[in-house]
Amino acid sequence: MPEKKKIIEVDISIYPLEAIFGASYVFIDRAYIYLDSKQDGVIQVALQGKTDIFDDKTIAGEFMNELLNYVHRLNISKYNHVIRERVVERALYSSVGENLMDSDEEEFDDPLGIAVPWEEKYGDEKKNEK
Amino acid sequence: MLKQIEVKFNKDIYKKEAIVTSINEFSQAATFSLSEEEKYYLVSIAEIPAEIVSDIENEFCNYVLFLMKV
Repeated sequence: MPEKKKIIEVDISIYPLEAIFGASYVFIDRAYIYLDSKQDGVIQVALQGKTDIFDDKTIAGEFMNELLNYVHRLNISKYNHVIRERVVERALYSSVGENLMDSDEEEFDDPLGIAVPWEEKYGDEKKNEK
Repeated sequence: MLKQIEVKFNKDIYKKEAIVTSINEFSQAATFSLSEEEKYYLVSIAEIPAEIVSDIENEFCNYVLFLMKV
């Protein structure tokens, strides 16, 4: 296993900590990752490949690419969150609205004719008797 | 059993809950203790079996990082 570590300094004003965690998560199966901060606003990311396949330059480059990818995803999520909320609201409202309409139109099963008003059921017979 | 290792976790980056959970998960492999400095959580790892002494520090750090994302 390679012992050499590659240290990357990441400016958190550009790459938020959430993006660093996200990118690190992608790499923990093939590299050992350690985070530290010696100065405000900068995170040191120490990367060490688990096997000889990943040399320090390759892994550092891939990590930076993944970091950029994560920042992009975070930005898209931030800009679209209002639209996503509206879509979810609309979907839930549509579902609830349909259920209410269905319950109003539901047919009432009355095989013995108990629900029929008495007047409606026997009214004509009474008139004939008189 | 060999050696004692000390690992520092920056308090601005790592959560104590993630470290404590990791210690519980790794407790069968070695003896762990947790303390604090002003800026760091300190994890001491002792009574490490020889067959894992080269890996345990790195694997432990990765596991803490994994829990940060989850």
